[in-house]
Amino acid sequence: VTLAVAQTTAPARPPPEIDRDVLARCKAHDADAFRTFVMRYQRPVFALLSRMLGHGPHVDDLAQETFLRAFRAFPGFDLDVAARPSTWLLTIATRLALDHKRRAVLATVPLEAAAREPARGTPETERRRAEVRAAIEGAAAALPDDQRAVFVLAQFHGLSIGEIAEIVAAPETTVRTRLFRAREKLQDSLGSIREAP
Amino acid sequence: MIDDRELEQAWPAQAPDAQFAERVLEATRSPERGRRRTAMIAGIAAAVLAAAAVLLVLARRDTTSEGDVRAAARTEVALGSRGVAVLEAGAHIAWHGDDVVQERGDVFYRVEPGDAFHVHTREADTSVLGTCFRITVNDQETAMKRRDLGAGVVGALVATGVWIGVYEGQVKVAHGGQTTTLAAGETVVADRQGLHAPQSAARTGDSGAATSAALQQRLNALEHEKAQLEKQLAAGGAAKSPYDLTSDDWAKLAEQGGFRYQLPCYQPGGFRPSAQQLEKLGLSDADGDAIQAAYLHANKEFGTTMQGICASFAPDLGISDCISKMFTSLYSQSHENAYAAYKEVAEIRAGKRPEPPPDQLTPQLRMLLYFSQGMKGFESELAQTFGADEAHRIAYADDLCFMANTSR
Repeated sequence: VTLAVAQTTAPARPPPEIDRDVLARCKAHDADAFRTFVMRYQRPVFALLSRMLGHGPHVDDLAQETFLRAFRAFPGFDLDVAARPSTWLLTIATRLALDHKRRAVLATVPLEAAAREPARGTPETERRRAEVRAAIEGAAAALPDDQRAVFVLAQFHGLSIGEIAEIVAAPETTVRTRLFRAREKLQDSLGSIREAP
Repeated sequence: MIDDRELEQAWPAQAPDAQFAERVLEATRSPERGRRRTAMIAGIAAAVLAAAAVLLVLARRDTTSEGDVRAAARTEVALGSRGVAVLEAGAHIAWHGDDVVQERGDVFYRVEPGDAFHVHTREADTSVLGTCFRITVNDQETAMKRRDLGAGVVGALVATGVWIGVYEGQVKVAHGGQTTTLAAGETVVADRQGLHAPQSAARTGDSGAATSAALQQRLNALEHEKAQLEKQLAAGGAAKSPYDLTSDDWAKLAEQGGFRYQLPCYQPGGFRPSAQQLEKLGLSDADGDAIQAAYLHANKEFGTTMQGICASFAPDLGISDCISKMFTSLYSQSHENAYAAYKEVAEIRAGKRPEPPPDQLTPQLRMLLYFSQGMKGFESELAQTFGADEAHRIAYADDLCFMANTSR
């Protein structure tokens, strides 16, 4: 089994960033603009936190804390030199998640229960999907926090090695090593899955 | 081989509920007030489903819109600032501005010219600059669409995979390392075998390209459709809309604590049906004026009525937010509370209990009672031009623009 995520390229679906004029209004604490900001970035923040920490009400709490910190920091956000808003926000979310992980043992919802999609497709594809899900669940749970963060940011949020290095405050070489190890572990865990017909 | 999409499905992300942004805003004003109450999670999630169609009103006005819609019936949705999607029943899409993920079902897209607009499916990514196209994510065999025939695009029977057909302009389809560009009248299927022409498909727009086998395929499809129409006629006419409810239908809903409603969709200036939609309804272009006027009238009536109801519930909120909050409040104690409210409304509509005067009703019940007759004003307006029977037929035809939802 080959794990596609072993490639170094990021997924080709970075959503467009929010308009500059909305950001300018957010800096001035304009409520409508900030609502637009939250609506635009809430999904990636939830995605990051839930994949870092597992599903559960703590994800909502930390997502809310992420946006509150962004709100408070907005007056100092430099539109010309600052990072992309998504990267800035994911930086806040990642650090909150890592900090939270250090302080608490979370009651999380297993991936199997969290997957909301009803079964579809042939019994064979469903079997394979269930196998992949179980393997990912086990492998993801076993990843150290720093490796998991790097993998999630690279794989699901399309961030570059440089951006991830800034987010996790580590040298790029360290990030590359963590990413390599995370992919290696996931690939090993998925190695027992039979090929789909 | 496990691809990115499979990995994403296997490692799903938790999604925010519909009230998340409002809670954050509330927290910016008073950090403690905005905090999530865990007990509300399930109720809010259920309310999201109930309010999804109504929230489309908000999405239509928002040029940086995002949303997630599972269509219970044919549903039209504005995507970002320049796209419109028509979802057939069962289809599911989620979007961020010009970036759409189509999870399943049959969706027709019209995109105004501009920057790249993307539709991602489990098998292929489609990029366009401005065009009309349809994507069908097949779980089972899909029959050829009548609209496909009219546009000169012949869809084939596709067992599984993603079918993409283009009506105008060009689209670029990518699947793994493969890409192809489709012009009007062309189709492609993306599945485990890669990108390829649909089995037995034909491009009828190319003179000489239509083989006898392809023409036979078309003929078979037309005969199949003819047989279906004859069957409908024999059964007493067109199939009744699931939202055209009789007293008996309401009585059945009351037994299960269910609720169902349909409302005319909102568009600035009133929705105007296309020439194709009018033709399908057997109406003329001039009839489009009357239908547009009826939409405009219904939209205004909806605004006035809901403003009145919201004034007693959340006078500071806009209508969309107010509606969403009312649905949320129905579920805030337990799902049973919401089902009890649905049951009460259904029993009133079934004639099993009298409708109390408005001043004896909660705002939520007033809203549900209004929604339960959400097509009434639209139909009355249409009746002034078309007469009662024809107005009823138009109001519940599945070719126009409505917001519909079923709870439970």
